[in-house]
Amino acid sequence: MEALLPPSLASLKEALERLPGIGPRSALRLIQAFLRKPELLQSVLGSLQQVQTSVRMCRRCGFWAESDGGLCIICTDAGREEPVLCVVKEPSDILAIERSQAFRGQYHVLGGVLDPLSGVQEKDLRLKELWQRIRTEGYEEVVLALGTSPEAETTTYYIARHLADWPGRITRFASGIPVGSDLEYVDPLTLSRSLRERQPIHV
Amino acid sequence: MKQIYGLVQVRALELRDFRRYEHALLEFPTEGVAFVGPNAAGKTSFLEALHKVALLRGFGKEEEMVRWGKRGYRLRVRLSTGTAEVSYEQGKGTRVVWEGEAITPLARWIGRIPVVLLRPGDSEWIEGPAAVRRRWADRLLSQVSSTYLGTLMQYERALAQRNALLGQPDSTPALLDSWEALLVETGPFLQRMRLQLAPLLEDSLRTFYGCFGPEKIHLHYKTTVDPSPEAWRKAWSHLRPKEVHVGRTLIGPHLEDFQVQLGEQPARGYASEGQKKSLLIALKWAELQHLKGQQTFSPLLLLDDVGEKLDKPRLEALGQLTRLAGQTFVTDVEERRVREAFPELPIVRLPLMS
Repeated sequence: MEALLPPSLASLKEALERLPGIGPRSALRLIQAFLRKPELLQSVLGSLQQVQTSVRMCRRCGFWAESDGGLCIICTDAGREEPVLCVVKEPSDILAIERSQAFRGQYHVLGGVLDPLSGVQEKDLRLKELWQRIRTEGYEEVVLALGTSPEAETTTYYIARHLADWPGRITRFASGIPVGSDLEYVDPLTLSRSLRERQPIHV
Repeated sequence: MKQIYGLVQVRALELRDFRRYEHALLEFPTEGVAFVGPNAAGKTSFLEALHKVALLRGFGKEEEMVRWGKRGYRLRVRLSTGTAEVSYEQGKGTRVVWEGEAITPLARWIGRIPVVLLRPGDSEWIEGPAAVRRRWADRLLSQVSSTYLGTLMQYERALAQRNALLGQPDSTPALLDSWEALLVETGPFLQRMRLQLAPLLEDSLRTFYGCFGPEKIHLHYKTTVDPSPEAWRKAWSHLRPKEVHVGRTLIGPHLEDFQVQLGEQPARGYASEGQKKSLLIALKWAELQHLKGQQTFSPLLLLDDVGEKLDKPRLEALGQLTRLAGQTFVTDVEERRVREAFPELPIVRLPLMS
């Protein structure tokens, strides 16, 4: 079937398929949409170029930034006064936490987690920047929100161990029962951890 | 997810592009069935399909289970409690849909249809390396406890990562410590579960084996380190240099073994052919009893071509296993033997496939 496509479309299809979440069928559908609506193609092209020229990694936290100073919208927000630093794996994790509107502190994007099997080492993560920020930016708490995969757990432990002598509080996101769900649907591993890390009730 | 409660019974099984079957649909009565036919008639494919549906693993490699020239296969079972579809596609892997809902992660599915399987190669459990018995124990424990399965997956991942790190020149103590934190959280739990399993099975093994011979069976789990975080850390404080040198972790459940003894002798290397057969039938009895005791429902019993070369008492003992099973599926080349051992099982005759 590939042989039926003109060479430029075949190469576009191949490029699209390399994107996360896009298989052969979605690639063809995108191509079809681009060809049917040239203005759509134009606007996507324009946006891509804009992103390529102006989006940078925030020089402080590692989130996406576009301003001249190289800081992102969160780092320049004067209203975020809570002296808490939340460490996440990827920029998209910041969006997830922000959606909850529950956090008013600062973020630090690690850019991954320790993963010797895939060759990810300490030097591949933004750890030096993290130590530097914790030393100089006056936080009272560092909260680790890296996830619960074995790699994430290990990275959490590694960071906490490194900060053992730091006077502030080191915490991690709790694991537990999703809000609004019944116990019988929660997997036993999550249940056993929720039980181990149970909370006192304040009345 | 809707729970499966009560007796799990397979009412119907449908295969598409599985092994040599393009399409096959079979309905089963409550007792189960015996598939009878010559070699290469495709009898085992039905047992394999049931095993895949229950434990998400067949008897061979996935690619071999796909019909020649196809990219995947689809299995559907209608149970007494609902319908499950288990499909496989090259490059995408296995997918489970229960009553219209996709199951993720797949580990959540294991244990919903408990299974006990006996195949001709199973004397490996006696003669084979420790890894065979570890896999066997993991399969049994995972069907009873999804906490065990989840913990095992975490342990294996952390172990692979620590081993990868040990092999790298810049593995620092701080990094090793961090991987060990997860290993000491998961490893001792696996050890304790296996340590508890051994005496439970030993009891039923002895009872059932008593029908065959006077030898007392011993089943003992041998650890490489005591099942506590403190013991693990202490062991590592001496072992680490050696581990860095060889590039792998030298303590833990991934190296441990179940030891089987008949009377005073280890079964491995000393058991006669007859004793091995008796031991395996007794083992299946113990597994059935264990699964039945831990679950609210009885397991499926899959017996693949094991009647051959069994004498009358052992054949009768094999038939006894059905008493503990929820439903039994048997394959055999000889109809007379099946009738003798499993008089209550209806027979499905399969012709030689062209």
